[in-house]
Amino acid sequence: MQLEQSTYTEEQIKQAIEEAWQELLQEADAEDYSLEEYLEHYRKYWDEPDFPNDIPEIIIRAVEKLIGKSLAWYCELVRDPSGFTGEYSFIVVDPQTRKCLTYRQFTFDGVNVHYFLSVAGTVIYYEDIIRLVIKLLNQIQPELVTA
Amino acid sequence: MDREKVLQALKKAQGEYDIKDLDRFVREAWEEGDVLYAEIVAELTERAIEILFDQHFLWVHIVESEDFEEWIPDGWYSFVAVHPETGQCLTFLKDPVHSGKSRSSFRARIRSADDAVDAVTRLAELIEQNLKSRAVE
Repeated sequence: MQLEQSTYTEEQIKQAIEEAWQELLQEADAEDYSLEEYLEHYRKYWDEPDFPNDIPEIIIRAVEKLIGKSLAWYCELVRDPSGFTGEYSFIVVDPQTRKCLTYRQFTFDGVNVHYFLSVAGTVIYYEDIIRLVIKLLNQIQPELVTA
Repeated sequence: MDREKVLQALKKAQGEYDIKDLDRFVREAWEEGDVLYAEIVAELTERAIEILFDQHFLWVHIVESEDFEEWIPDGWYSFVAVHPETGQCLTFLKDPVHSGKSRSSFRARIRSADDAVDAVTRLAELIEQNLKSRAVE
């Protein structure tokens, strides 16, 4: 799998995701099944309310475990006229400084400034969860250092 | 937050959107499950806040829906506001239910003009609190 660069190894990220998943299972008092099995069901039934809501929990918990810090966050399940698109858009805030860690602004032409409050990604397969965890880590880690 | 000021801000925002009857507009957004109307209700709420504070903020809002498949608005809205210069989240809130947890969004039910006044009032108070407490806790 081709991954974006991260300060964490793929193994560390996978372990954090697995721990997050196990936590969710325990809290829901659910039977033991793997995240891959869960994602198989998710791909079939993602338009049912419970399924997409678990994904942001897994992703944020994994990020929190890796950075060793609790976060305040909000996740939008992105929709288009045909329904949920599979895309998750995260806004992450440092609870200590109240700084929005996913906020960034940049310009393409040196004149017009574009503002972004969230980091988004589509989740269909297990690898997509890893990618989104890395994407979030890459965005929020430098912000945590400078906060 | 002064109710009279909130009413004035909402009225001004209402004028900008050319809405004649706010109560009817907000009710239709909910009762008829009109997504476009609901989006305008959310924008109107944000605009009223900006009028109150006399400054622009960066916003994300969600028009919520009980029906996950059909996406029919249920009269609930979530808002995230960020200060464009400092990057500070202005809708940050320590969760009163889950101690130690915190939230980055403000959630309100807006199904009537009264609800809109209440939502703008509470949202303005939250933003005011966050603007005041910029220091690390």
